[in-house]
Amino acid sequence: MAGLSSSAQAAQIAQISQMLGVNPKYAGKGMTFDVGMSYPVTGPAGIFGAHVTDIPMLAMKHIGMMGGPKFNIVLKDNKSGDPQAGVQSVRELGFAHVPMMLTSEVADLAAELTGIKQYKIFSLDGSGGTSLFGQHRKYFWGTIAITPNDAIGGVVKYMLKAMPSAKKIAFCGWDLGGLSDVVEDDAQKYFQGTNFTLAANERSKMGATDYSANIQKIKESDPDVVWAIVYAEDVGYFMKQYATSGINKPVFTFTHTLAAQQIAGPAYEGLYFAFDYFDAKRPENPWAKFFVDEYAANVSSSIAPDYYGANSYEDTFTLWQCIMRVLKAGGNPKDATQLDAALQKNPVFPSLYGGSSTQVGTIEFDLETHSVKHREMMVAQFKNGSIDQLAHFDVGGTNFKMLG
Amino acid sequence: MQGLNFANFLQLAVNGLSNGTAYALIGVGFGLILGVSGRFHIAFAITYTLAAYVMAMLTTWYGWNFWLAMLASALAAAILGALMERLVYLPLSLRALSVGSDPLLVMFVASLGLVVIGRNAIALAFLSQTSVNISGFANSGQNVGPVTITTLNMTLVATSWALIFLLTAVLNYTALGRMVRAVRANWEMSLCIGIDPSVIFVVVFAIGSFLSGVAGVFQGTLTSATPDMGLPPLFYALVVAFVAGLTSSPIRVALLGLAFGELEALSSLFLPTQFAPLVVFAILFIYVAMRPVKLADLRRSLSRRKSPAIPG
Repeated sequence: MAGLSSSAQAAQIAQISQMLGVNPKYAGKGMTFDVGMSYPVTGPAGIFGAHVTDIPMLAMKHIGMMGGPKFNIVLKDNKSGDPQAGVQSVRELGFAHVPMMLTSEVADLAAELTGIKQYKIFSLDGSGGTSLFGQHRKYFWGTIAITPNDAIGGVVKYMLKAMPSAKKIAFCGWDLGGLSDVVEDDAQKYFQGTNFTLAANERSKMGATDYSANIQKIKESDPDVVWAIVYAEDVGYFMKQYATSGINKPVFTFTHTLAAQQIAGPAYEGLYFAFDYFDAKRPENPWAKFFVDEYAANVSSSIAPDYYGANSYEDTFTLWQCIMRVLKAGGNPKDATQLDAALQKNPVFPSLYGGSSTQVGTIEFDLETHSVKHREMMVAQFKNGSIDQLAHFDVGGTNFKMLG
Repeated sequence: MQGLNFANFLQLAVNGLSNGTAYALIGVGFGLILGVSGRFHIAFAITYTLAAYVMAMLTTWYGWNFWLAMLASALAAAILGALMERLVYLPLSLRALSVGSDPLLVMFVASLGLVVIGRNAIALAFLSQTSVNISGFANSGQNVGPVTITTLNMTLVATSWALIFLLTAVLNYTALGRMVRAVRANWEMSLCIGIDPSVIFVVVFAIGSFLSGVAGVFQGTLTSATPDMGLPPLFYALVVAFVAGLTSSPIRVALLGLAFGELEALSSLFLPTQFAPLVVFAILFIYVAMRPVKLADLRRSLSRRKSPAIPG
């Protein structure tokens, strides 16, 4: 796909720059910042290899065009959730005095969090957020909603509206010990005052491909709705077996990935999902549309950006917003403590999610948990090979709105 | 705990039949290689995986017929297995013997190396996809009374048992089978009657890898092909072959694999589902505890099997 003409691009850059509230005086032009990245370059999740830097680099290019600073990416490989690699990554970034970082997988399954605090690295995790085990950690912020917990309220509200006869719900989720118990507790909290009851609570091994025993137990519970609280490719494996199980009840999940869709094939049809999904086919605000167009022109014309890509783009801009705020306050933007304080002073930032045709969306952080407090989420269904948005809501199911 | 009703029991038994048959097939393949050659062939996981990828390419990219593609994929696995024996294990074994080392550890390390190389080579070749789908099989659920059986599982069971019986017949009633059994019993003695054990080793690697390929194709069709898909079945193959014994007939090995599958499936009547895979390892533990293996004897037995001289 051809990119925009240079004049059209310049006009859009100017428009978006205005929407983002960029003040050229404090934009950091002429400065250079090192930005760490601890991402899965190798290992099972490392399918893009070193291409994980493509989207942050696109964001940095746009920041430069908006009069912002230059950035050097210092890429570290967390080897797809390898805690030792994560610890090593943070140590190296700390020794190199890198003040800020884009990180992932709940800061590599929490292994990076101690180093983030020790070496004072202002860090944003857009792939896993804070989850429940990475909250309240100094310098560490999650920029994606906690799944499934933050979405449960929205799903319950959707089911009450769209599936009024549903009563029995069966869960099949990863066995994450105490975290799985919290999911059940949260769901029970939202079920209070409704007719919903938990008919089965099956647990599976993370990365399982055989769900036949789980599905049999679900079948035995005769549910009206099934919640598949598994992630990544596992959703595809679950749906592939569910489709031939003889159970013909709707399934909700809390993620959507191209990999799972490809694995499930036709079995993916009709699957509902709820989380902060980035719909590249229907960007909600001008900044999101610009990102999608620029992604197609610069990164990949064949595959649209997913929410991981959208988050790493947005997070790069969030780092820049903090830099600008520190500069405006007359501080040192290469000091992680000052960047962190800038976020805490005003935890609201521009977002690719939500908004309207005239203004960008917003994301707000919870100063207590360091997770997101406000984040546009949706209930959607995979239907006839594409995503059908059904409802929008905010964290916890607030501001719920049925679409269409 | 799940209710002990008959329909539930039947459904789990049917699930166990398909899983157990898959364990049977890989147990027979792995057991044949281990029993005859004494090679601790961990790279069995790679022939299993390779077949699934070849199958995915042939069916999804080139639109081959499912059965034709399965045959080609299993043959690819057989060729790879035979090459591993001929080009890696045999030379290393001879080299180890020539310097007075026990080849057992050398074989193990070499096999481990093949797994690492094979897994990463596949991942690199399919860099943009974490998994690849196999197409060409219209899987659907068929209701038989209270039980749902998928066409894929029925095909898996029929094909696998046909292959197991065929292998049993070949081993029992053909000249090749007699040569394989002769080498398995005593390869040194087999030399005396003109059997070349190094050739028989290559043959059993090809047969065992062929079976692993068929199992890999079915697993890939049921789920999808991934670079790591061969590792979990390897453990089942190992347990089945180990408990059945190195010189057991394919039928006995297969029945043990089937029993493991049934026990695993039916255990979820009493245990949380996520603990079902532990049942197999609990059986292994109990087996070892009840019938202690003299490790020195086992080691001697394996060492004896893996060092054929090449005649001439």
